Amino acid sequence: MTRDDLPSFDAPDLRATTVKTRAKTGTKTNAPPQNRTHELEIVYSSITDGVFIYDGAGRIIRMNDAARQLLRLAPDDRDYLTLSPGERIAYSNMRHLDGTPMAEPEWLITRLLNGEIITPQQTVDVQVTRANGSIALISFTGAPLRDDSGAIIGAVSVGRDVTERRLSEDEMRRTNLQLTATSGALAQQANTLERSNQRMDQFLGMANHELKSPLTSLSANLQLAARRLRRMMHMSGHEAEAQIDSARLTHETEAVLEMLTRAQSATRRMTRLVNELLDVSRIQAGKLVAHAEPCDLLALTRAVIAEQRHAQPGRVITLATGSEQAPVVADPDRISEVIDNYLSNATKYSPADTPVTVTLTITEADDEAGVARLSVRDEGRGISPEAQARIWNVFERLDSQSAQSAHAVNLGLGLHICKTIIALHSGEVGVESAPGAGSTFWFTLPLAPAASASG
Amino acid sequence: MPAAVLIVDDDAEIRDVLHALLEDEGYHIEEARHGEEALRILRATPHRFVVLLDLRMPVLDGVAVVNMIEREKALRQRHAYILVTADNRTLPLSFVQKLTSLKIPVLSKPFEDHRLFALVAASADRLR
Repeated sequence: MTRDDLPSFDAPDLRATTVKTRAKTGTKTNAPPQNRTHELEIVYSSITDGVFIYDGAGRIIRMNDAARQLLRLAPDDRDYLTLSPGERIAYSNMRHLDGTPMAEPEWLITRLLNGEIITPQQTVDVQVTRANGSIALISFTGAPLRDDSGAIIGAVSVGRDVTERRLSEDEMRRTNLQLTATSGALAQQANTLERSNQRMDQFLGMANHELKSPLTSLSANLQLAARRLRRMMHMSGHEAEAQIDSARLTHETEAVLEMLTRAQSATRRMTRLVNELLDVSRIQAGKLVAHAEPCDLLALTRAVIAEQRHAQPGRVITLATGSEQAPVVADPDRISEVIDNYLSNATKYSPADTPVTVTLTITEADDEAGVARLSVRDEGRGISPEAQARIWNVFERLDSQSAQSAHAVNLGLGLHICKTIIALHSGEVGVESAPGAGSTFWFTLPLAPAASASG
Repeated sequence: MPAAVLIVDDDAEIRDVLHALLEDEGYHIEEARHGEEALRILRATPHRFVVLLDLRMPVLDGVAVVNMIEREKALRQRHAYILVTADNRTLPLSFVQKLTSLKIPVLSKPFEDHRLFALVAASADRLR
């Protein structure tokens, strides 16, 4: 665009006196044909970016509709065109994108009038407060206008509204930050899940092993018994007419009975494990319930001890109590289960030649209900304070290496179930132990009110 | 002399029943409660053993014993091994590959008696 184009480009209805004046005083005044002006006018007004044309003093002499829209100027607002560059910057509160003020050498118009070409690669990006008070982010390109001698007589700039793009970039940055934070949190959760997954894997491996050991024993003993019985039938068939060796037959029969007894014991072990698994499922679903009824804790304890003595003949299990009875309102099966679990642990985790002592004490209180406290003491190798805190949790168990036999291995669910059962009865559980000093596991139950006790 | 079988398992019930089953089949039986005891017997014995090796054991487990077998030529050449485990479905691939290269078959717990006898007989044949 040459200097000569400027006046002719200026439509007569627009106020652009400076240029008109300048044009009139210019060396050449021959205007391009009317149809070219018209074409340019159409292009100019149909450009969707804002086009600003400045005179040599930096005043805007023309702007297209898109430029007005960019600044939200009313179509008939002519005052904006009268503003000097400084007034315009102040009017629009033009600032850097980060909100800091712009110094005069940084202004777009200053740079253009100094001969700088602002390319799309290095746009001048500003934020402006528009006529309607909204803030817009505008990206400018531009170039100086020169006359034939190369002197700068004005400038043209193109402004593009990048508010939404910038905002979406900001949004993306914020989203990115949030994502980073979220991914950190997710990584932590993944870690936690990984750990609980490992524990679950360990648990499943253990459950598999613990269930299959008795299953293997059961299955193998049944197969062995069947083979022996077939052999006996074969033997008696052959010796039918001869004298059957009754001593040998008795011996064989006893061996088969022993196998069946072992199969039964393996079945009991499995039943116990399956029950523990079911109980833990019930606990986790909040569905473990106690069917409470008046019963005597001392009688329950004696019954469990008798069973344990029967199951482990030769093992010394003593009961110490100064009371005749310990009336409680409780689920007798569940409480027996707890006592049995304590006793089983005590015998498993201590040498076979050491005694296990059960103690039942009753504490009567004048103003409130009394408490029954049952404790089971063993002479095992004891439990570290750290382990004492863990053993009541689900899926924890005492180090299997410290068990005195392979059958001592269990799923580590027992104590968790005990604790839950006692809590259902408003009682407490605990352990007193030190490495090398044996262990005492105890629980308490509230005594039944005197009325039901005497009744 | 009948082939000898060494039963390595920490579970006395499993040892007992394996002992009775294989003794009925005419094998000479020895027992070990864990890997360390088994290695002691296998290194010292004049016999050639078919070894029934449990995986989960205290002191020295089945994996450790298999590693020793891999390292010690004498252990590998003089005896034949069968891994007896309830974890047969969850063995790590690398361990399964090791078992394959050492020609150690796996008997899963619980087992069928005829499969036990077949594996032990095949292993005993290899020792001849």
